[in-house]
Amino acid sequence: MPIDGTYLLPGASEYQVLLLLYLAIASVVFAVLSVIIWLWLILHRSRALRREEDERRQREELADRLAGLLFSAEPAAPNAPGLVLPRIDLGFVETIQRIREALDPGGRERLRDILGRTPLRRLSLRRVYRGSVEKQVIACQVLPLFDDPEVVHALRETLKNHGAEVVRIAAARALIELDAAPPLRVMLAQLTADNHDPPMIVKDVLFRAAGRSPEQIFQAVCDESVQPVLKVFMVEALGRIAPPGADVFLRTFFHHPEPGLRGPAWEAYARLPLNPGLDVIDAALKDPLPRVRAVGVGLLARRRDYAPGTRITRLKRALRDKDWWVTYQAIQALVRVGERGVDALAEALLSLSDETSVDMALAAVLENRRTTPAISV
Amino acid sequence: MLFFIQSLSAVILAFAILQNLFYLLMVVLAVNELILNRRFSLLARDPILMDHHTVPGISILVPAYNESATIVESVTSLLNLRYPNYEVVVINDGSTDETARTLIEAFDLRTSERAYPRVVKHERVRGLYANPRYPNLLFVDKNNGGKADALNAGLNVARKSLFCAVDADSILNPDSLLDVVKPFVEDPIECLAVGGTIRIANGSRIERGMVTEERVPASVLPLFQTVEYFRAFLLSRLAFSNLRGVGIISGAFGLFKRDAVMQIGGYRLDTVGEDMELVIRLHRHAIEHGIPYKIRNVPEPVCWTEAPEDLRILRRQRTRWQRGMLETLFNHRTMLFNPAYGRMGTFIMPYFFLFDVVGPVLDLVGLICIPILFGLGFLSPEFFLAYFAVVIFFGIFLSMLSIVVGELSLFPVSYHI
Repeated sequence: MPIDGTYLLPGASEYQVLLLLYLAIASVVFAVLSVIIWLWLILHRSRALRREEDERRQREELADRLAGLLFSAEPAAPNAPGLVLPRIDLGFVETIQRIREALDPGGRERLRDILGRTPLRRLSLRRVYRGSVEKQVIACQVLPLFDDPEVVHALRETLKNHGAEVVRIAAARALIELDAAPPLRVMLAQLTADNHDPPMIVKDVLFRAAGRSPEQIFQAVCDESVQPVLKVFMVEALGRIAPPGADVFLRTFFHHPEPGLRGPAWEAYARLPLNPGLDVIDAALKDPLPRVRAVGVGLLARRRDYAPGTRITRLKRALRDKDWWVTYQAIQALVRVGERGVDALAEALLSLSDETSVDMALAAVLENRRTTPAISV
Repeated sequence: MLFFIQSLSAVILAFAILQNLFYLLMVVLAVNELILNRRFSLLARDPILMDHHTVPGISILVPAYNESATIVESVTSLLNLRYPNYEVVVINDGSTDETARTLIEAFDLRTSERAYPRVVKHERVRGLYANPRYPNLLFVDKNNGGKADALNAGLNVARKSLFCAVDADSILNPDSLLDVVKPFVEDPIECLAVGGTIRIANGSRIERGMVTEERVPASVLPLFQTVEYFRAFLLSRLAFSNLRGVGIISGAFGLFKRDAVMQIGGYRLDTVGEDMELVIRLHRHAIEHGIPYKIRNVPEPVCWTEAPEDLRILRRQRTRWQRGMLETLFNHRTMLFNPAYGRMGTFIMPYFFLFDVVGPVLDLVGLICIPILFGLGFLSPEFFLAYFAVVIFFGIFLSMLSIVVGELSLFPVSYHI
């Protein structure tokens, strides 16, 4: 049956109207289906959110369990009855060990995962000053996980001013872990306040800060029965206290097959007030471990007595390192060389293939060059 | 006359069919992008992303003009984002109210001697202010020059490799930066810019500068805009992202590679649509210089904004958007339908031109023609009603699909779609 107004389209007919009606009906059906899918998704999402909430609760329970492992219900010191203190029989190594045992493999990253998903950094920063003593101690233990200058500041303030000794001790331990502890003499005064006979726990902290005697450290590192984690601490302590002969000892680890020990050995070596020769620097720069190559770059930057050309050639090579941290160190080292270093950095910009490296190098050049290079617009 | 009417009708009908087919195609592309994005999200939410050395630093640029009432709350909220390596740069664009004084007093800011290169042009900076207690906050006080000018000043002063341009009244989720940085972590070399999904905050509960409970707006106008935002900000941008051709990154929230933007001269000062213009210029620069690049959009709702609640403000906002788009398309007209610019020239920009510039004109012509043709007896009522039903119901279907996609984007990242 022809319909009126067929002029709308050439040859428009009732079939076209029917087609449009079918399309409209199909759209309605699909729209209704979409509404049903939407409602189903809403239900499903609330279930998924509930599940996530359960997981969060599990994480919190795990964190509580960790706190239970690290704290004792027994009074830890005779002069503090009723006060719940961290387990004084647990040294730092044992504490870490316990945390790791309580968690899946993955250790520190996993802990960071558990704690990092909550705004714990800010929470911890607040808790250093507020909340129960236990919470403040936990806050001090958690804070070193966050590489943040604000954390160091908060911990230093805690160590200096906090009324509770146990919190000050926790802050001191955290600062030691962050490698930001004040000098030993200052720390001893801050930790013990008026107490002339520092308790065992304070001595433990001081031991960690200073390391054992060099002989003990040498023995511990060579002893097969000593746990690898402890060996690493000992090696790091050697760098901190720099006893005579430490450099010779540390050099024996430069080619150690265990990267976990080789890296800290190099880093400890870099802390010693030495001026290593080019052979040592080149060995570091060729090491397969990026952290060692970064140490090599740092050592090279320190040798101001070498001709700038000698340093710049090696640093330019390090710029093209496949690890960005080494590249970053090389950029910083070139900047420290002075004007020639910045010029070399500007020249090397074009040869850098990695965008991040170019980014960092360009920022360094822009900040340190006297005149800004022209940028075509 | 008859031939003219028939031809016009055929054009409008063909256009409508083409437009709706495109919309349908975009739904498919958006869902595909959503699935791809969530696959990576599982990796992106890994705690390793929170590590200082794995995520690029971000400078959040906050241009502020006469924002004294809200600036402190906004900056406090920005300082509490969950991201390990970022700074907040607030740029006072010569406000005539107490914006500068409010911020300086609230954060106890002092004059800072921070040196910075003048790579992109902007009005004179009157002073930089900082406080060591807030090491990641910098306040730039400058002469008035407009939003783009303020952003250019921020670009020069910023120190991180990425910058995030936000409006002073934008409300960011605590995980916004983590969500939006994912494409940069995935591809730090080629990724130039990433946009985030903007949602409407009207009706939602906002506490301490954060959306704590999501609700639908109470009034009608923002309610319509909520669905519109789903279609425009979520669906179409996800689809464009899937085609690797995002043409607009909202000025309310967008993350860019700083050196890439500085290389092309920063924001243009002579346009009201500086956000779209910048993105198109980034595309253009990369294509003309043969640089492989990506500009992406993430589906997670990262930013909340207040939608206009009255017609006057809405009209002003839409006029600004439309003017910005027209200016951008005019400034880059050589890219239109130009195969040398790849998908941008042959698909994305023609899409903007056809559906956002020509489309409204044809819509208007159609609306004017209906009563005239009906009066002249050229319009079949049956055909008109059937066609009208298709347009309305298909539109509802598409809007429903966009709401479904929006719902999918809200699922927890641990959930496998």
